Amino acid sequence: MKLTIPTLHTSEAGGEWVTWLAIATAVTLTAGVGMAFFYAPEEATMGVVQRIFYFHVPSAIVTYAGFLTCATASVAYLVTGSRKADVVARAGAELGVLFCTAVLLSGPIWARKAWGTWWTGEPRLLLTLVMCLIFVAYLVVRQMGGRSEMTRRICAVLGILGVADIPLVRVAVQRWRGNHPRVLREGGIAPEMAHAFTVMLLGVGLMFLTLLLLRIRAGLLEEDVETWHLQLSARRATLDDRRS
Amino acid sequence: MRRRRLDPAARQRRHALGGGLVLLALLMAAPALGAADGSGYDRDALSERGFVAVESGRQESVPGGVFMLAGYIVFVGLLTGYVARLSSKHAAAQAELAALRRAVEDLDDRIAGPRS
Amino acid sequence: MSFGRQLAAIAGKDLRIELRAREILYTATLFSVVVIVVFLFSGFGDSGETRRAAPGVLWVTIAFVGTLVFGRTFQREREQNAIAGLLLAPSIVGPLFAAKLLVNLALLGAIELIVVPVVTVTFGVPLAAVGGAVALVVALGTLGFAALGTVLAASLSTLRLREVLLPIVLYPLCLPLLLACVKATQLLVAGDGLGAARGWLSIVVAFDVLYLALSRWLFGQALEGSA
Repeated sequence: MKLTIPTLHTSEAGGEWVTWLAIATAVTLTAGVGMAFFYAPEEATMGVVQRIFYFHVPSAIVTYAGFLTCATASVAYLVTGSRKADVVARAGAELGVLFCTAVLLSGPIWARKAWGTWWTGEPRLLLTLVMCLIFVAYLVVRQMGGRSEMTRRICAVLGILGVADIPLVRVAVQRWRGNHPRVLREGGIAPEMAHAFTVMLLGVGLMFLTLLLLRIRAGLLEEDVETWHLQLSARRATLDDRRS
Repeated sequence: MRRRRLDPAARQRRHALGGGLVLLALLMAAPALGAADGSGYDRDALSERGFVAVESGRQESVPGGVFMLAGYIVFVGLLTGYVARLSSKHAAAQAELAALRRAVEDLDDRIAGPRS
Repeated sequence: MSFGRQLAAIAGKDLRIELRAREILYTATLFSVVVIVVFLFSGFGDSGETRRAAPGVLWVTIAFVGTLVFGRTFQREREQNAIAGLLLAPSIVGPLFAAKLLVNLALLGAIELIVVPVVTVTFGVPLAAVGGAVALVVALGTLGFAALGTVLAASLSTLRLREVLLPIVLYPLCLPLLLACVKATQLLVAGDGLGAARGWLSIVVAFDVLYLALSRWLFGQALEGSA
């Protein structure tokens, strides 16, 4: 007699997909970095350090995608109670924090050269920092809370609160004046720079998607490990019963 | 006639969804609050805010190249580190899963054994 | 039981416990005074700049004391799993949230009654001239802060490391509200009057509404699993 074991994950689900996505990511990112270095012209006032922009801004955009993924999946988790949604939420938060860290580390390098200071009280800097802190806290709760159903609920609540808070942080910090370059909205960018930027945006976006899928796979695997652990202890109990 | 009553769980779910949607709409409207106050950014000339391509081979006073390279190294380093961590996590989970599967099958055999 | 009676029963119980033991009030008040003294020793309190530091000191103190209060009030329900019994009552989530929020507001408000005068006096702010307006900002700010604190304390109360996790989670989430409160208080302390602070005050009110709505919505979600 064999019991069937419910698993969330068939280990090679979407395997082909991810491989192709990873290849596309590698090609696009290589092309993007090449264009950023050799095709796009040097910026007149900031000089070569402006080339950080080509991954700095796409990373910032992808950060929002990560946090939004987390919040959407969290709502789905609260409504349906699906473990998959929980895994997706965690993956989104983790990737958001990853790219947010990239933004926060590369920003000061640029600022040091362009504005002459590592850090200022500029609105978007503060917004990014606070956003990062919120989701680092989310990940800490995840880590410390273990795998209980309660932790999942708490984290879903935190994920929703965190994303809902972003517009409020934006309102609050924007009432200070800022000197962030606002090129994309005002169209002040040389065409070659725009081309390089588009390719980099695509590359970083694909990178995000690939990593998200991989993280979700790893998360589902870990859920499976949990399920099998339960199955194992259930069988041990059965065996012990029979012996006694 | 009485209205058909939803079971409590479904009703709660519906409330939760409705509430969430209303809140989301409110939050989307929040940035308008800041804008309505009239303290936006200075509309400086584009040359100060935007990026302009350099016209002649200008020399730099501060080694921007070092900064830029540092930026790219940080970026690549972060991503590589994350991928490495993820793959080790994936491999560990897979190994544990295989071990668990073997252990469960072994126990299954032992449970089934005495009966047959 | 009606909403009002459930609310009164829970809040009354919590306040009675607190009035008998006075453990939160005594410890938190003392803590706030110590924090203010630390700020004084850190050099804020000895030059012409003192007044400008007062709003920051005030709100940092309130934020510190807040986590102490919020964590404690919900912890009482978790002891011996009283919450499980409480959640058996039909449609209890709304009254429970309102009661916990009220208790938090009452306790934090009582502490602020001491903190606000102490800060204004030690940092050279004319209490008589701006006291009323500052009290308004403090009251409005505390409302939103306590709403978020209530839901987060309720959520985290099951975790082993809740005392550490609550500030880590609460401060970044509350930052926009605290920022607006500090700014509004700064304008008032500088003597610009309520008119100048109106922009920031309306933001505080808007944040209050949003935090209250969000917290109420998520409070039920957070407790659903612990029944």
